[in-house]
Amino acid sequence: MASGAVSGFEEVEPFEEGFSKHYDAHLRPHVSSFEERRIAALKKASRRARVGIPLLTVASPLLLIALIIAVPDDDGGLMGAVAILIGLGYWYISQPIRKYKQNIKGDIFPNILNFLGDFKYNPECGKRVSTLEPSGLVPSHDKEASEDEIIGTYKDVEIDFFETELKRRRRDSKDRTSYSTVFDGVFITLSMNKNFSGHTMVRRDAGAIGNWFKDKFSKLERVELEDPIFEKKFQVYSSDQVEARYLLTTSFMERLLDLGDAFDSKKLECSFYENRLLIKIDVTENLFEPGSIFEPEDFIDDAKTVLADMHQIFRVIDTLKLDQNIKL
Amino acid sequence: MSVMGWVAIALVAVVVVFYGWYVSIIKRRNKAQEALSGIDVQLQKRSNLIPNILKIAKKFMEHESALLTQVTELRTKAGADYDSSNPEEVKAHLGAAKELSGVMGRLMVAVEAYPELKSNETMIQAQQTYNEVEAQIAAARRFYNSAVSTLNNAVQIFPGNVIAGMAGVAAMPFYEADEAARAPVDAGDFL
Repeated sequence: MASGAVSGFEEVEPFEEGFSKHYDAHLRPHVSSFEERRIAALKKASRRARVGIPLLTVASPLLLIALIIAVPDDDGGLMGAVAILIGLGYWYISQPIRKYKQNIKGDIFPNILNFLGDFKYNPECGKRVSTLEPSGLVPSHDKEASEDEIIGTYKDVEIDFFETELKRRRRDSKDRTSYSTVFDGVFITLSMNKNFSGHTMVRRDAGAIGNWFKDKFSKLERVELEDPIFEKKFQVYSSDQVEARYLLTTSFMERLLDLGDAFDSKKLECSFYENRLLIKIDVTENLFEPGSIFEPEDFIDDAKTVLADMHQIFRVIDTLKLDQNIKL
Repeated sequence: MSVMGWVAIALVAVVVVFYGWYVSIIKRRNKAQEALSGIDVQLQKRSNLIPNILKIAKKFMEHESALLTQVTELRTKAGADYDSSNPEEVKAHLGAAKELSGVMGRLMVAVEAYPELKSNETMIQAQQTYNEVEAQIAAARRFYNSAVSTLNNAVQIFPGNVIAGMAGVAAMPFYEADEAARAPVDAGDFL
């Protein structure tokens, strides 16, 4: 599709205001080149699929039969071998599509983010959570897959965002290893408008028994706050009772409740430490992902996705009013 | 087991429960006193800040001499020594601190009527620091009131009141926010 045939960006949401000009200046010029790449990627993937799928359809049962004959008393390992074969086949067939999407994220997403200010975007950020361990919010895990790191400033509040999936290793009675997800969501680190030196955590309510265990085994002391609604949804622990109340003013508690309403308080926890605020939100949806490869490329879906996802991050700052240096 | 045996077990059980209750009351009293000392740390910070504010204010606020004198007097009163284990003295101490908060609040409002003073860089910094200290005092007050509420429940409800009476532990006063600070702001006052 030629770039001339691409319709412009339609501003629907308030946070999209002014983007159509940015789209025309910074994204539209890349449309035709990426459309060519999209078609090439699809062609390559379909060529591989035409060969790979029939091959897998024939090879998988044959491999399974061969393995059953070779290892008659197997207890599940054969199915694993077949699954690996199918996985490898899928990886090989979809590789051109993945590469194309990586190019969109690497080349186009930064152009979209430029509209919002000076943001650094890194689609493959490697391991990140170890730096957040002192917050107390990182669950015990053995595997980490982090992506979509965004670092920048909004209304003078420093933002460090990334998505992550953490998995813990398990061994069953037959000594087989499997991994289960212990956290899938985002970590947002924000600079704070208050100075503090202690450590305060706002954890989701874990029920009477869960809270009792947390109280008993937490290194931090339980902080009982005045707001009964807040106390019902969250449990606060801190190294400093006064500082916890300095940070969690009645108005800040209200704002955290608002944030809980926006993201579901069962999925939200935060930690004030090292003079910053870390927010952990369970998000099952994969954020910052390009649109479908089967649609003609115009970057409009990509832009709408990135702007909407960034709006969610900004909403955290706006809801908590972290930009207001009111000292109260 | 003989009757005497059961009586002995019952007595031991009563002593254990009594001791546990006693320990819990003493812990709560200590917690309340710890919270009170937390308030005093913040009140001291505010007290140290006031002379600087007054020094700057005196240069510009010639017509507010009565208010400035009142601040000085209340600062001295709030800074006076007291016995933290005596509820009456604690009440008087917190009352003086509350009064000082109210008068300082009035002073900060009065500053608004002096544009030169309001825009003075030193005054702006002093006000920011003052607001910060007031926020710390508010936090310390919330911790203290929470600790006092727990203590008072323990020493005023039977059989806690009996044990507290024997241990010489009394209910402690709450540190209430200044009425002026809790009152709704009338925008008309500032127009």
